[in-house]
Amino acid sequence: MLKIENVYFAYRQKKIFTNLSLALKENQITTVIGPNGSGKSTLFNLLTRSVQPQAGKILLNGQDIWQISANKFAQKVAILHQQNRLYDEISVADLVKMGRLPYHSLMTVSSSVDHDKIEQMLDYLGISALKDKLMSQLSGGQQQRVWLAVALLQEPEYLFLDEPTTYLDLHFQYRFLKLLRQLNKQKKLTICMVLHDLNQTLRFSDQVILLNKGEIKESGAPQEVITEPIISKNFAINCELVSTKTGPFLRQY
Amino acid sequence: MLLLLVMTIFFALTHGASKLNFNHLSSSSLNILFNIRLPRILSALVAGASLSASGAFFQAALRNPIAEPGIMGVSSAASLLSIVAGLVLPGLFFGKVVFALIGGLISFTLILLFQKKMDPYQLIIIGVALDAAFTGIQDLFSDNHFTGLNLATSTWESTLYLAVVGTIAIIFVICIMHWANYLKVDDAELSSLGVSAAKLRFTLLLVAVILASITTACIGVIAFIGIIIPQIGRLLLGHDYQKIVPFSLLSGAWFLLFVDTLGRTINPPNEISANVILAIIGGPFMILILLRRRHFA
Repeated sequence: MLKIENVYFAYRQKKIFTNLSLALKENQITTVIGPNGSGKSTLFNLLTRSVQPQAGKILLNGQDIWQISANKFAQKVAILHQQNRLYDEISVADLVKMGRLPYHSLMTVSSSVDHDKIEQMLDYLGISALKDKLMSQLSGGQQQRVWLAVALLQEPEYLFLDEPTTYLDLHFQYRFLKLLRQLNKQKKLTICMVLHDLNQTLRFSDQVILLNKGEIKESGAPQEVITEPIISKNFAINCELVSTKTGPFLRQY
Repeated sequence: MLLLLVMTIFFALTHGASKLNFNHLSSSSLNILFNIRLPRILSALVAGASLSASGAFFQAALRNPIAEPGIMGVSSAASLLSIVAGLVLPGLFFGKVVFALIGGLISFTLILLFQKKMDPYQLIIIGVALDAAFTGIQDLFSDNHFTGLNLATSTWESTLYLAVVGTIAIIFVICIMHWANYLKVDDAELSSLGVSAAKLRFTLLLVAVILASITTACIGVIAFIGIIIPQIGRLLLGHDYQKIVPFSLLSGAWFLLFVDTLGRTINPPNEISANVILAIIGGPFMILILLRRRHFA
């Protein structure tokens, strides 16, 4: 169980959260939405131990996440960053190996047990054939899968994704979100992501948290949160919810 | 590579201002062999390995293909302080080594401070500026005979220091060389894998600075080999530091010996110092690397 209790967080005198509490539902996909500057990134950074709250607590299975060692935390929580910068050429095989870092002392180079885990993961994600390629030779969608392999090799309970579809074309966006659903079902992974696309949110989430001006305005099932009045008020847009063969669709006008 | 190394060592032993023949060794040629050539060869081997590995670690830690201790001002700071040691504690070689290490660490601290605020390419300019400043101060002492340090001045005392400290540091290099691969990934990503990028960077740079400082204390400033060798390793073997670093150790040892031997056998008894030859090759080489790697800038 990962939850935030009465968190206060300010960045350079600017208050972002004054008293924030929330709990992530286990084995579900929770999507955080909200207009720019609503505090989505900060919430993401707080939950992933990238920034420390000035007051209040963030608890993982009852334990303050700042009391847990960095590699123990990395065994429970994995993050797929929006943009993964590489400073040098690296092969897919060398990169995915790094997913096992939380389980080793820095002095050891990965063992043979890990070798099997790595092979299985590459297989599962359908990227075994890319193993000997350099990251710079892959398409955006393939790179995203490799980074996902790194995160999943941490064998986490929680997977956080920061706008995972931003750099993907429509085809890969859809495929990637379907893969997340599959991971959630098959690997019992609790997923929390930040998304901009409200229709993707409608379709691929179990829970939606709507953040605005540092407060949780709404939270619940997608159909409860993504409604015409709530969305038009919080995003300052005109919109309507249209029902289609594949489910509700939010249209802006 | 090993064969080439052995052949070069043999050539370096027998050739020079006076040619030696192993079948007819007089006492004066034995003296040349053991007290002049052998320490010089050993120094060149350890220094070449040390500087090349140091360069590879600089490139990984600072995420820049043209970083190396000479360019980043580490060698000149070490050199400056070892000259100060020569003035304060004349005749005490240990003092020079310690002071050179202090000099290297001053540069190291400055690099780490600037590294937080700048991108890898701005940092190189800072390095060049530091290097110019340290070299400038050093030029104030230019009449002093302590500045004339190079491979030709190798003694058994300097060689032993270099061999012992260098070997220990090189063993450490081999133990942590896989960290250099980790730093190809962004700090935020490393942190989500439970690894502190700052810690990796600190350790790699510290080892690199120790290697460069001890080398400078013993044989003076030698720049560019730290770029040339690891980059050739990259061209031949790919981007894995677990291959680049061992290659750098071996080839660096060979290359410095080769350049030094070339310098003293081309036109005996005159010598062209290894540093001069390396600068002539190194400058254009650096430009080539920058042209090749623009897309990672």
